Amino acid sequence: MKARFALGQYTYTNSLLHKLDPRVKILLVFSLVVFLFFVRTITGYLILFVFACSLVVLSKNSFSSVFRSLRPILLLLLFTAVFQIFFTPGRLIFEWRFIKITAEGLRLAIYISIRLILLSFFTFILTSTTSGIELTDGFEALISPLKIFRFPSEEVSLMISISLRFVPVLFEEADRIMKAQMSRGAEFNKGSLVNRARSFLPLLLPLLLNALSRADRLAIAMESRGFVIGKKRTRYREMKLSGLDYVAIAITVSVFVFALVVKEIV
Amino acid sequence: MIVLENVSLTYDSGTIFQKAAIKNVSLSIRKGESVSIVGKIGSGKSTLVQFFNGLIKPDSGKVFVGGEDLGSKETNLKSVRRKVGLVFQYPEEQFFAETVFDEVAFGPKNMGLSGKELKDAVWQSLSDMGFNPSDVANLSPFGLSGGEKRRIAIASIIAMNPEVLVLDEPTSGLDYTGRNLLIEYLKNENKKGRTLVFVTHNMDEALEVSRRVIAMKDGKKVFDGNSEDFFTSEELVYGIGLDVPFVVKVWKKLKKRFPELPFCRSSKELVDFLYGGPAR
Repeated sequence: MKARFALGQYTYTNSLLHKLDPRVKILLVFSLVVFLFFVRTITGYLILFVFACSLVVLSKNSFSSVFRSLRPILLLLLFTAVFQIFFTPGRLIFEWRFIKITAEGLRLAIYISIRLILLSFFTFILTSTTSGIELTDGFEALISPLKIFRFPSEEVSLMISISLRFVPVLFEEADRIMKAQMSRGAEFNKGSLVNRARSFLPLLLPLLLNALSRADRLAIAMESRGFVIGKKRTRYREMKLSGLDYVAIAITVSVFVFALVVKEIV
Repeated sequence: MIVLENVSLTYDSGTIFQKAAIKNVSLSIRKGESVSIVGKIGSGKSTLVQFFNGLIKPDSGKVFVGGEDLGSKETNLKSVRRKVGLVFQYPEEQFFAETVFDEVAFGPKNMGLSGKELKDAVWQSLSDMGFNPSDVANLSPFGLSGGEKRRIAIASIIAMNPEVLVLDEPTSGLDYTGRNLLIEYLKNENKKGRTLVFVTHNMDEALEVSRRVIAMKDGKKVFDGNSEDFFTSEELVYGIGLDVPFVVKVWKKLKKRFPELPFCRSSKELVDFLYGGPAR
């Protein structure tokens, strides 16, 4: 009964992809995900799929961990695919009583499944090669132009990084409190729905109280180390684009353009 | 009472975080005994005691409590947890009830007690832990001092009347008086016949509380026996990365001057001897 939670899937395999600038990685993955929906041919998707697979190899991740990351979206995938197959109007290719399958529906279902799978492939590659700190640093740099509109980009990214940082801590603590209350005879999965909801009180209440007091202590600790909201801070890691980043941009863009313009060959 | 046979456990096996937590540990704790489990942080002490009431299951090996195999499907874990009361580290962080009474009553209620039986159990455990029950029962547990909170948390386990009381670092974070009070209550519980398992990295406490000590290092059991033998052997204690209790250091020096000095388990015993108190 261990509540395990690995944030993203960051694994330090020290690959080329780890060395890329996080800003570049975030931007590339983001635009890949957006433009994914503009590709209109199976051949184009095939090219992207091969590209994604070679990135996985390059990141020194195992394919089994990629498939593990697919598991949470499997239900969503199935749901949307089924909906598309049965409820898209168009040229009938199969009919049995009230079940009607159209060519367009089948086509859409295949497209959407491929898009979702590719989408999670690319995000997996991003999160497995970029640590939480790099991600938030990159994110902060990318949203910093919004400062012109008085958007508190530094605070927002600090908030994100702190919450990400404490997610595993919360899970560990939940695990500990759960075990402690089980030692006092508590059961979390028995009885009626109401009873079950009530049985979570001895878990949720201490969890919340401890989180609040931890937040308090964290705030004091940060202030005692000179943190002031809104004040300019320097950083330990200066992000700088290297040759590798330009190569990555060039390759990704050209693969993508190729996937967009390629004619259907199957 | 509690028997472990060749128990091993690996965390996150198959991933890069794989870590062997417990390596092939066998031990047996008899009824009425007082056992201290010592070792450095990360040596597997806390993991080890979670086998005792079935919170975690070993990858291999067997755990028996009162003759029942915890790996078997017929074993009722709830009744095992009633027999083996486990007090976690910083147990006051698990408080949730509005009053001390409700907090202490949580365990016995889960065990099916109600009415007068429940009240008696709460009252008894509170007075066992040195409280005047009617004074504290209606207070909020969050408003008490650190030492009081800790004793309330332990009372909430004792209220289930477990045969074995297992405590994971019960004195950490307590002030001097809170610690001394707690140690006295624990020793007293053991004298009354409750089996006591005491996890600590404070060697002075281990020596004072238990005659038997189990030492852990890197998930392996490296010593199991008389605490006097253990703590008087510098080779053993330093080999595990622990320190010889202060009392033993002083006792060794004094022993050279006073050969008739018996082994002392606490500074109080030592002082009593030197000043002709009850230990002599």
